[in-house]
Amino acid sequence: MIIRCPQCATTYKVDDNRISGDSLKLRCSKCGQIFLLKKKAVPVPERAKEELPVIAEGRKVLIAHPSSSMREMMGELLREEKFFPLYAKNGVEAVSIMEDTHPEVVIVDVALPDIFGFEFPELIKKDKRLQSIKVILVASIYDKTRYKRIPQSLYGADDFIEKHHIRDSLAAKINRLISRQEEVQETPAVAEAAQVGVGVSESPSPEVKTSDTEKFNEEELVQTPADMQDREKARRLARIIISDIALYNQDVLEQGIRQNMVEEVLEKDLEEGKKLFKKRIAEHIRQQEDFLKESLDELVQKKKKELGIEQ
Amino acid sequence: MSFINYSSREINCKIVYYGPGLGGKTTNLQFIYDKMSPDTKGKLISLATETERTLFFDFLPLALGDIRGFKTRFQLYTVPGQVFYDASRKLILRGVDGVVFVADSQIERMDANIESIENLKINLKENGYDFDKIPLVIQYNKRDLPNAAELQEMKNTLNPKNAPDFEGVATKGIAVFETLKAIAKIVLVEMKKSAAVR
Repeated sequence: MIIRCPQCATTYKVDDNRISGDSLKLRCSKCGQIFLLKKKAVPVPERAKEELPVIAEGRKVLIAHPSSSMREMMGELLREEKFFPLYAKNGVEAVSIMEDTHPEVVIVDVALPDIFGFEFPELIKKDKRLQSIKVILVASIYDKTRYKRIPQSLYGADDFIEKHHIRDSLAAKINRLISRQEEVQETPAVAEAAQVGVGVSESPSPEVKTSDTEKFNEEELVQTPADMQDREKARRLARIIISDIALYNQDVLEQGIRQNMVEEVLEKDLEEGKKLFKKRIAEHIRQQEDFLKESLDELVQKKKKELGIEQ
Repeated sequence: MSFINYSSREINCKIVYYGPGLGGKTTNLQFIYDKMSPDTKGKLISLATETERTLFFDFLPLALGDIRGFKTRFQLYTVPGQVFYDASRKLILRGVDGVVFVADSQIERMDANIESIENLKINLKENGYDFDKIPLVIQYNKRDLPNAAELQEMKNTLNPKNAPDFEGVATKGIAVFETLKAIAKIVLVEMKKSAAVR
């Protein structure tokens, strides 16, 4: 989740899993402001849905694109189709709009600044409150008449659209995703809401003071922006290393996945990768989590899905 | 930095194709090699550095003319793109005259592109070169893929100093020779400049 310090507006990325209860106390390392981070509720119950003006306005679709003319063009198109467009020009903005307004579909440019478009599906999937949002990636192409290869993987996105097809097929793609969503969603939404939904009240709740905050050592919680940057760097390097290993060992990887021995069959490359990771990432960052392992697990999960292997 | 062979009266220019793993460096080289007439090119040599294919071949372009009576022989190299084979990459950059950076346009390889160009900067520096001064041409490869990143975004990220750049599809030979010609031209201009100084 992306959060903003209410005092100085510095943005931080916080792992959702760290909010074990209703809230989490954080201190901004820049201005020293201590603030409470609350888990937001999922706006699901049917009654609430009826009351919201959403239906009258059209179904919400977030357009996350760096180009203002592209945003306007898509917005106009969506309004004509009776959708209610929302706009974001970068990744951070898009995430905060998604958290606040819960659009049904988000259309993301693949090269969105701050957070790449292809990172969105993963980010959304990790956040229970955003999980239901469908993602359409906007790809570009330099020669629209040329033969194109079909993408092997959309990085968890639900669909993609090429720029020059926006006018003729964007609305259809959105409608298709939404109607598919409705078929699936009939029942489980309420159960999930009960599980995740945590008080809809927006006012700062004083009852959070004890158990949840006590569980955490404050020092442990406060991360400097530099620390966050380093973690992000570590995560990216891990992803590069793992995707390189996967690219160069596609058959071996597949075989490893089928036999459930991925780490064994890739041992030599993983060793090389670990060496590089150790050389490049400071020890205190490395100790925070096993970045390489996480990246590898993620890749294996994705591959399993592609291969149709049950998890 | 180029190597001068006085007995054959040739100047050797070393051009290194750099970039992320499986981004199209080898495909570029292979395409050039296949299209070149047999009497001007040497053998295509695969240097077995660690586990990756590193290719090398040289050729003597006939149409380029001489520099003070010396012919120019181009030597083209690829480096291992896989992120952890850094030692080989550093080694291959020794004595380089020009770099072609072959970027993979697929958006999910943007991280790898950025990593690779940063790595190029470091390795050039460690070999005593300045990234801002070395002849450089960028090729955004794999433009035929629908998951290609926006061109402007790639330019912003990978080519802030506005080096000559091309959109390519190396498997089909698109922009392969344009890229080579562009780098050869810059390298020769640089070489003539330094020859004039001497």
